[in-house]
Amino acid sequence: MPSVFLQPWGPLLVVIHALSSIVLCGASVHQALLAVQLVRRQPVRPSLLQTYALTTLGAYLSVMISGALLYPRYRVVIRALFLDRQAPWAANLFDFKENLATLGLPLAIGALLMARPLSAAPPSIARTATNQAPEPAATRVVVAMYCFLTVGTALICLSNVIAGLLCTAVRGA
Amino acid sequence: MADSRRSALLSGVFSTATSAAFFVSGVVGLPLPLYLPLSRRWIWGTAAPELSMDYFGRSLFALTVGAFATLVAWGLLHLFRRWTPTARVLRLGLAYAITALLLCASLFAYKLYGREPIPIELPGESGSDPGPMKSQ
Repeated sequence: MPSVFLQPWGPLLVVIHALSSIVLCGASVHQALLAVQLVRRQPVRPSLLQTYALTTLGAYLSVMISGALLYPRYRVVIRALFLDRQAPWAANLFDFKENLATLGLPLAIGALLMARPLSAAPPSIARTATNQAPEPAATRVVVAMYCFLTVGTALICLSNVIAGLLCTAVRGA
Repeated sequence: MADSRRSALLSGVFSTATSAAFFVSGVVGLPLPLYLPLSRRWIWGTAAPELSMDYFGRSLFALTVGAFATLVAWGLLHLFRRWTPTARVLRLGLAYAITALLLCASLFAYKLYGREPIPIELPGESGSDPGPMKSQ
């Protein structure tokens, strides 16, 4: 069997991938909870919006890059030699998880893009300061978009962690 | 709130365009960069003569389309500085982003559910040459 790209570095990359995903889950869920607070018109600490957005995107990129470096090794050593023969459902689930990860990246980037203006003037704080929303409809949609981006990122991260654990739990993988 | 509305619109465009491009790559047999992990090389096409991976090429294509669409939208917003996205435009952007994401995720769930992978032949296993392999 010919060696594949970065095959000897596999265990180290798996550790980096797993640690990054732990950080990612924590940051993305916290970020989503902040967005839910905004939707419920509860005050949030503006600095947290940017902190969680930056942490989420940083961890997301770390997970994706380490995962991409691991992928050739997984494709040959784990999937082609074992999963495709013994547990095709796990191979399919893993591929679905990878595709979801790509779809989630724009959500994490979008959340960071929105975090800066939102932290400069969070909707709930603006309302408190002026005692009325300048344009309630537009503000509501802006918050809804932020909620979609953050909750979407968190859901994708959580489902990917579960899928990854299920695939790893397959005997011999 | 003008900045946050512009950011919301750009985020929606990025997500929608990426999901749409990813969806198209799953429906149409677009020639994409394929990585061949056994021979450690890249080729351009829809099928490869050996074990191949299309995930990198597909992701690169979708993210590039998404980034390009966002850049165009940003340029337009920069050009028409006086215009601020209205609630209706933002609502449309949000609806498109959610729909594109759900459609794309559903398509790949449908394609992968019940897919029967073609295992590579191990040394000592008999069999004829399967010919060009569809990238998985």
